[in-house]
Amino acid sequence: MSAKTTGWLNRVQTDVLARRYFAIWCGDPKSLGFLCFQPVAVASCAGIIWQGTTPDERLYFILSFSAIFFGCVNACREIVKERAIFLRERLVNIEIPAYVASKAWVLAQLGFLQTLLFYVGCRYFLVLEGFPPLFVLVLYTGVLAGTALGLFLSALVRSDVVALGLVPVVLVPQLLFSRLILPTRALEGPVAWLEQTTLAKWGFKALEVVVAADPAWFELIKSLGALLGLGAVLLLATGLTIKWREVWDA
Amino acid sequence: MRKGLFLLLVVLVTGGSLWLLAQPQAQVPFSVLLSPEMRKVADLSRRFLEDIQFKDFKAAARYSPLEEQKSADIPKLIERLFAVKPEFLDIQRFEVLSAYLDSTHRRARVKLLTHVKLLNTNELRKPEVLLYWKKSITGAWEMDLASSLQE
Repeated sequence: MSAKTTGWLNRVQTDVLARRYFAIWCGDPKSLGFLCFQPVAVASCAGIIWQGTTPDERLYFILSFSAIFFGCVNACREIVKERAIFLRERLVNIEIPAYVASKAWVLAQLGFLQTLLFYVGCRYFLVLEGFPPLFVLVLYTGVLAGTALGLFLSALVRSDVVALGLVPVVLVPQLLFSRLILPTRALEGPVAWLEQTTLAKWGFKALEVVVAADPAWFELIKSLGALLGLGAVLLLATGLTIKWREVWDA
Repeated sequence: MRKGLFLLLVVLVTGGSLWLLAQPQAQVPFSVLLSPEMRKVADLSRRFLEDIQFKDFKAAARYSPLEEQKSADIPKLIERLFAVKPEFLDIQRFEVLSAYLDSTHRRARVKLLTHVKLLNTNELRKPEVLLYWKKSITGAWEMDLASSLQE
């Protein structure tokens, strides 16, 4: 694994690590099966509840939140569970950006599969408004942002049990600081600021635009940009956390 | 190269499938499409609403039993449902929300969501429409117009 760095990312290392990581997923059919089961189960629950009714904003909020949830749950153990291996490989010059990128890349592919299963699962019971490719794109962006959040959690903690325990700690506020839960008058000051930083807010906003009769395209681009931007910040934070932990532990 | 082609194939297949789902005929839950009988009544319901959308009331009456076709006053039923005269009604689109068959599989009800614009007030509404169907002795599905078109 010679260090052939192009820019800040060693593409050779990323490729090798991603291939290995993908092979690990493929060699674990139980985990892969659970990964596929998750969206189907959630879609079935949503479908049973909303079947035969007009889809409303609560449904769209649940869908956007679920997408973030899938991404976060998929990724929350992925760095911490192989910390010992990573530390050993660091001795032979594994680079942190390549390591994080390989995780993100493989999880993004699996997330795409989950998104499609989730959409098809929902469509089994419901007719979702909006242009389907855009609808899937918004859900997928939510999965990607959730994956970045999960990777950050995974880099932050020392055991995978703690990582799993932290998932509700970061996801429940996504619910609490949402427009559906908060009365409008509470959306001021720090609460309003916190709402702006939640992934669920932007995912929901993007879905609202997609299902609108007259979509505001600029709002859609803004919301998707916010989701991807927050995701990028979280990935950067993941890399920095790994580095900081390395320095700290030394 | 192979990776790139595979990625392109995935994007094309996924994009194509999703594009197909955007077509008006696909605005039905998959569960309805999987049952031939439900698919049939859902399709008839869509065609009935399409007739109303294009103000073809004569064609819309064709879904009723033969003996009721002449007396079927569809404009009046539309007025009752939307509280507006048919000439002020612009049905923009509609989708099947659900379709159910009874235990005998000889009666069905289809729920549709319509997106309408009232031309006299420019108001946009989303009324739900229920259509009731019965299977005739010949095996054809006939609409029970009197009980249908309820909001």
